[in-house]
Amino acid sequence: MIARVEIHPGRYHDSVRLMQASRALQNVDGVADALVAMATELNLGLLADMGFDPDTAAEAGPNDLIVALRADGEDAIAAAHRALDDALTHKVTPSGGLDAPDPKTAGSAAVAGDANVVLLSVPGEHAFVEAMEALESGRHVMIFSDNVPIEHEIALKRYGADHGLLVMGPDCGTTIINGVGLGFANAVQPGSVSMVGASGTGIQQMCALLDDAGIGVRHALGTGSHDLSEAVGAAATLQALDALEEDPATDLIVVISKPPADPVADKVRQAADACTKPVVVTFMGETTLEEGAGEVLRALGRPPAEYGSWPASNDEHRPGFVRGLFSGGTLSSEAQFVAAPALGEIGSHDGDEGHAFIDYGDDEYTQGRAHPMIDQTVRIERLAAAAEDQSVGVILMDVVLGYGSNANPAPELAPLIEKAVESGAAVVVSLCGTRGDPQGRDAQAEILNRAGASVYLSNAAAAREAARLATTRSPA
Amino acid sequence: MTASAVQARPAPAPVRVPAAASIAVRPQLASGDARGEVLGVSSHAVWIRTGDDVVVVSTRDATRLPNAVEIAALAAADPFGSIEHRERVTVGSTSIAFAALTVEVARWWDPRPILAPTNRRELSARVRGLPSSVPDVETRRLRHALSTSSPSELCSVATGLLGRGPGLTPEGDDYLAGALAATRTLGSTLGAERALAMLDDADPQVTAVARTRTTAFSAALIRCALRGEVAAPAAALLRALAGRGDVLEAHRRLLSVGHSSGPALAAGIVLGTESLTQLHDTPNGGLQ
Repeated sequence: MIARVEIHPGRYHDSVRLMQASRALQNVDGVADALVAMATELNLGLLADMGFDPDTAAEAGPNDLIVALRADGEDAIAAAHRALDDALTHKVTPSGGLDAPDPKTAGSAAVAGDANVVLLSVPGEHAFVEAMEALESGRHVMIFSDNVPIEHEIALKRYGADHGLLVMGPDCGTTIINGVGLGFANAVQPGSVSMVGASGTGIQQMCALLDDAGIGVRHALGTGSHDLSEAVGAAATLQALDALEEDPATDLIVVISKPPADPVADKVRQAADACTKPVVVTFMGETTLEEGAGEVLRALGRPPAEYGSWPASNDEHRPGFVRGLFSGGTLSSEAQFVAAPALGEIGSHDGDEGHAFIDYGDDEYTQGRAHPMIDQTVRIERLAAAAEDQSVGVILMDVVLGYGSNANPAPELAPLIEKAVESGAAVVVSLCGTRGDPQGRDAQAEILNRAGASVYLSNAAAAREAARLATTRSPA
Repeated sequence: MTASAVQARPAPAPVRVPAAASIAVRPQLASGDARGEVLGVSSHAVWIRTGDDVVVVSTRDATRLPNAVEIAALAAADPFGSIEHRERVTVGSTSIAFAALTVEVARWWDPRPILAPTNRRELSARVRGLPSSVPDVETRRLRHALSTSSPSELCSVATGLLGRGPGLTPEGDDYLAGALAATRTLGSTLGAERALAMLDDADPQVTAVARTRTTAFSAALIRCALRGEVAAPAAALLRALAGRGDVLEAHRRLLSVGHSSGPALAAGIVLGTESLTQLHDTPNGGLQ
């Protein structure tokens, strides 16, 4: 009998392969005993128990592989080595690979790939035909396009419901499916909270708050801004609720919308009550996204969160009104809801006197140019104007991060924020983003803060701070 | 062709692939560049040692480990074919750079399962009948350590378990990891403060013992387990035990992972869960 102990330093193979190697060696003719194992202290002890000389493996550590063989001759040892090489060799069958070309058209993507969702971004009048084609080929569809006639939306959603397919949109800006963002979306950690939302920035703010509290997101299904109108009757919202109720990886569902008409709100609440999973319904104007996120944390048994903030010392600002310069419609509405009890009447149009919170993402301001979440030109102009306007004491603005948004917004805004602060105004920023967002959430916050802005991850907290600043130094 | 002509030709640029990384390896990946070394390569995974830790780059069809950086390619596409054992690697700045492949982190995911609120009675009913032991691994002392929340006994049992078994993650390690992760995650849901304090107290010593008695990769998984970070099929079993999902199905799936790893992890989770149901200090532990 020959005993042989070999050490393969720093050699990792997965457990299945090690098991296969051990089995292969034991099956070789003439091999009486074999051990293939990582050289842990206990396995070295086992080696000694099997009668091998422990000194032969004295140099081996837990990250080394030991191969011990006892065989009746050199031929058997050589056969064992061949069996070992065969078992441990890295073998794969190439098929396709990293360089396989991407499909170039939506049609070829739908036919060739295994995608089950089609994302449409075409002028509104063409959306119906494209969407119907996608539905007829058995795909769910997300329609980014706006200006789609309501009767088209109703017809598409009815066809979808009849065929078990979800129609997200029209005017659906944000959807996240299994962590993958479509449209304007934040980089979320995987988790078991899912959302249904008729509001894109509402979904984004909820993602940002949950991310800051360490909660991951499974799906966030946008339904389009008209879904909770009386005409559409929450068709997609109800269907999405059903789908998430059936999704085994969703443990909790959040519904986000601006306040719908009463009969539609009742329908959504009844559907939520019928779910076996906890459902947090956040109708803005009745509550805030911050309160909704708080309910999610409570339902998950997590402690209340303190959302990130980067305060600036701006209590000594000039007295004056609050000017809200928003790119997200929901963020603007929420800020108005939060600040109104302290500020009283708040206007919502450019040129309004007194306190005014304006959504520059509204159609009125985006004719012929990109959305302000991408192109900040209009807001930069208004920021400069507000800094010079001596009736303005506090400037409140949102900065929305994530895929699809401006790639590096803070450095564009920082010089104007500095000027505004120098001129005596206080600047408060609601920064809507997650830690994983490509712009670098904390780096953006620090640039804005260094320029003199107080920065809050919670939009409601930013609105409260703006209202506090304005009411502690009221306009003359 | 002359030697100089060969040298003049630039090396091909590395293939760049996006990846989703566990937040468990964020400290290694989010900091500045550090040197690493390839410990091993298979069709499904590359194990990289960086400092005291091990980061795994794996394909989409590999079991998702708590310290994994997962790329979209399947093993059949041979994405790791160019990687050599002992190859030097740069880890940091949200990427892992091999000689011919750069893995860039595009998304993060959380390996800690989010569990539904539950109580001891429900847990006890769900875990009933599942096997809590594995051959050749002693169960009794681990059960006693956990059910009495004794950090010193847990450290002593860990010393006997770590490195037991031939695999890259020895069976004893997997068993211990399952028990630790169940205690951390389900213990948090139950509010089992003494059990959680036991893990906190035992953490430094168990981590130190793991560093010397088992493979660096397995030691990294033990550190994850102490924080409640587990492989995806183990997370599914923990979620099911807390009331979300089919326990038997999740258990069956975990059993099919690896050679001995899945069964040992599953048995550890069952043992950890049973021990929690036998504790007497849980505020949510009463019959509700």
